[in-house]
Amino acid sequence: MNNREKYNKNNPIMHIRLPVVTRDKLRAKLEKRGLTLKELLTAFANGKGSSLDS
Amino acid sequence: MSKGKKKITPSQKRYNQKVPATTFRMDSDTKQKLLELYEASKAETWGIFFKRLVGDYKLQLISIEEARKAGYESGFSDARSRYAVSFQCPDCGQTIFINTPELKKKVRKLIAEAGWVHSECPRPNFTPPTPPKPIPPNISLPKPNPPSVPVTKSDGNQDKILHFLREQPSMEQMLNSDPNNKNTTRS
Repeated sequence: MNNREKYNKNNPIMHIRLPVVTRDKLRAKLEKRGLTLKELLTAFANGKGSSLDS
Repeated sequence: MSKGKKKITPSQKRYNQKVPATTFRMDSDTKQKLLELYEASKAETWGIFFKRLVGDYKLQLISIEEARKAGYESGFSDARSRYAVSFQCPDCGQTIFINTPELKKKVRKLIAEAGWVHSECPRPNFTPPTPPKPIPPNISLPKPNPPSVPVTKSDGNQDKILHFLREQPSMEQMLNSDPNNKNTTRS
């Protein structure tokens, strides 16, 4: 396994498809808080986000 | 076999424009946790799962301090509505809460003077108030005189007459009012 393969394994790519309007609204909200989609998803994964029931 | 550029169909192009992909890299542990959450949610697609995560696009991102303040205010108002003792100022009509030590002291003194005790506690000098005696049927109550309404057929102003009749005190009010006191309230 070369370095690129190791990096790809440790840092996999995430693809999220969202409608443009939704994505822009979400981005605008996140930008107000100085967050990115990646940070939001990381927070969700670490149990700091809203619940799945919402 | 030549490795040419992947052909994008017109429908794919339209879809990519309408629903573009946001791509980023994250560490494998976090992705694994997200995938576990995705599987636990039983969402059909990743997009549906993400929509649920952000609360069907109603994501309210507030800071911890704001959330704490909102929760505190909500709980405080609930507790106040449930437990607070208040009365209205006779002058301005605003609500006064019994929350200062001086007010509490005065209220305690008033309650002690009024002789309030537990309902279970025996009171030696207490005689329960006697209920009012019912009016015997043979006693007839004085009927009030009907209001003298100047009914004139010529003017035909029925609305004014009806309004005047509505302003007269009802039978119940007249029975309850003091006959000596002329300042009776009218409905």
